[in-house]
Amino acid sequence: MKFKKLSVILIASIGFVYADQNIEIVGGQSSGSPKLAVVNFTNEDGSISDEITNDLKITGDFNVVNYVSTGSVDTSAQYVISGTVANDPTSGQTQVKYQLTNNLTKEVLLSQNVAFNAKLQRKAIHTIDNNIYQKLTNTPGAFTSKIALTVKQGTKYSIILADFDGYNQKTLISASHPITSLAWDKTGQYLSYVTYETGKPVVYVQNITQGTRYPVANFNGSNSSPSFAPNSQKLAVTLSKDYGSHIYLVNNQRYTSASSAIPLINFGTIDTEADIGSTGKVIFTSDHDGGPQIFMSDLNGSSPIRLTNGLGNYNTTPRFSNDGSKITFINRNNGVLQTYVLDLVTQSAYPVNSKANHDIAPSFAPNDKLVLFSSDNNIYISNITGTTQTKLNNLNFGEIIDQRWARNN
Amino acid sequence: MKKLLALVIAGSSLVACSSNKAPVEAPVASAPVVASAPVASAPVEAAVANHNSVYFAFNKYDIQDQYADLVKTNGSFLAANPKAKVQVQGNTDDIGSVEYNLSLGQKRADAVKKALIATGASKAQVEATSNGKLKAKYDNTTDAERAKNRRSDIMYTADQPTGYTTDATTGLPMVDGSVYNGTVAEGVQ
Repeated sequence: MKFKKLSVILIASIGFVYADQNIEIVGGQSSGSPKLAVVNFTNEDGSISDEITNDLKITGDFNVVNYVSTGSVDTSAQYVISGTVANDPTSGQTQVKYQLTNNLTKEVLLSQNVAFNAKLQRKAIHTIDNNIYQKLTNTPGAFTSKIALTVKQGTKYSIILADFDGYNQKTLISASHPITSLAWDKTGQYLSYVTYETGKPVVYVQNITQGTRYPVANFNGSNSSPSFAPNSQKLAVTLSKDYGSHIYLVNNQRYTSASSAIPLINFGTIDTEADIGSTGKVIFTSDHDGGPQIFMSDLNGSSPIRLTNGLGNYNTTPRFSNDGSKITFINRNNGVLQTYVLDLVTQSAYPVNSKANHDIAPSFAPNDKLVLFSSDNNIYISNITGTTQTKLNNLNFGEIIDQRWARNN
Repeated sequence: MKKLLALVIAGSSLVACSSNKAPVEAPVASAPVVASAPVASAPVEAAVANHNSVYFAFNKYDIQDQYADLVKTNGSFLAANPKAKVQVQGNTDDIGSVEYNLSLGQKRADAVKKALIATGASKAQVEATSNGKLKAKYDNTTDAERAKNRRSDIMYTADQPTGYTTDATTGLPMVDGSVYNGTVAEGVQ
């Protein structure tokens, strides 16, 4: 951000500017259609137009160009976002007036006044971007959503919570033993994970606001791979208490104290990575056919059907879209681990990261338009058509073990 | 009984080095270490220290013949010492998803658990858990290093035998010649 002013001066002559180095478009051309002009707001330091530009660029839905002034926007832009900022240093309040205009008809499509504490500027601008995105696409934005990561730095393992774009990082817990396998409930208040702090994998649920937590699966053997049922009253987990790894339903003890485990999937010698969709289906990885493949069954575990056909001998880590119409997963082919999206309606599967090397653990944004994953210890967001990949340069950790996009905004 | 065994076998521990179970890739347990060890200055130190671990081939979960005696030794000890308990921790190399590897490691731990029970341990004495790829003791940069990570460690959690230790740097379970009079190949391809 130090270079912001400098770049404004240098690039002013050619009419546009783009400064935030934390969010880097690394794949695809990011030149969706239509062209969207983001004009620096009057009286801003550059951070507002940066954030709007970043948010809209990441979606891959637009050709977003940041201009220093309205005068430099030509008729090639179909829409213009502009505004003014007023800061009150004594109260700490910021007033933003912005508008979204059709550049051809000059019709004002959206115009709002927003007041917020200056410390909450990023959140306020993300909210504005949700409104703009909704207006332009008829789809809710996901710009106010959260992500969780498990990382290893030196010998320390941590869960990091952050805004979807990597800003506002907070450490939820740290431990000297591995932590992995994150799963959000639908409210975004509870996070389930696996921790080895007792010497073996045990599944916990933690309230991310209060910090309180409780074990939900601590049976003989290994306990892993949690996924909340849509109503959050139960979780699917992988247990090894009966030899092999199979999927069970356990109670979320916030609702029911009983700690029994009901068998859900016993299909191969390994059944794991369950994800329960909003449609009441469950997807999971099983070695039923030899190597790991992805299957889907009803929530009573009956008649699993294989979803990954003709996609090689190694497919893992399936996660539903929030509307249950798609899954994202990892395909391994010739040593390359690549993030895929499979449309359950059309049955088409396609990679969404053209530069994949070692992708792990993809999950959908709350609006199902974007996918979060990591590759070689960097965090990426790709749009679900695979035309745009964004690298989040502000999430720098020695090792990234897992990441999960929250299900709510 | 445990102490007696240790005394009796201490004298024969040098013989253990010439065991016909030649290490496939076991520089740690190779004979020259013993030859150069000044026995007089470190009389407590066992001449042979084996990992109390079973190694597996890539994508395999069966216990190879060369590890059968080590497993049987532990199973017999558990049978003779009902208060003793072990946690068998399965491990994998770093290829693939965290959770699928956790389940692969579980298969390796389950295999050793079954073999321990078959050789005398009771079910309550053995818990099989998995670290998957998350607690790799070796760095996964070469095939040989990855082979060492495909492993089930037999870790005592109660009433361990005399001669059982955990390695100070790696945390791996070790047994000296008083417990197991043989050599363990560290890693199989």
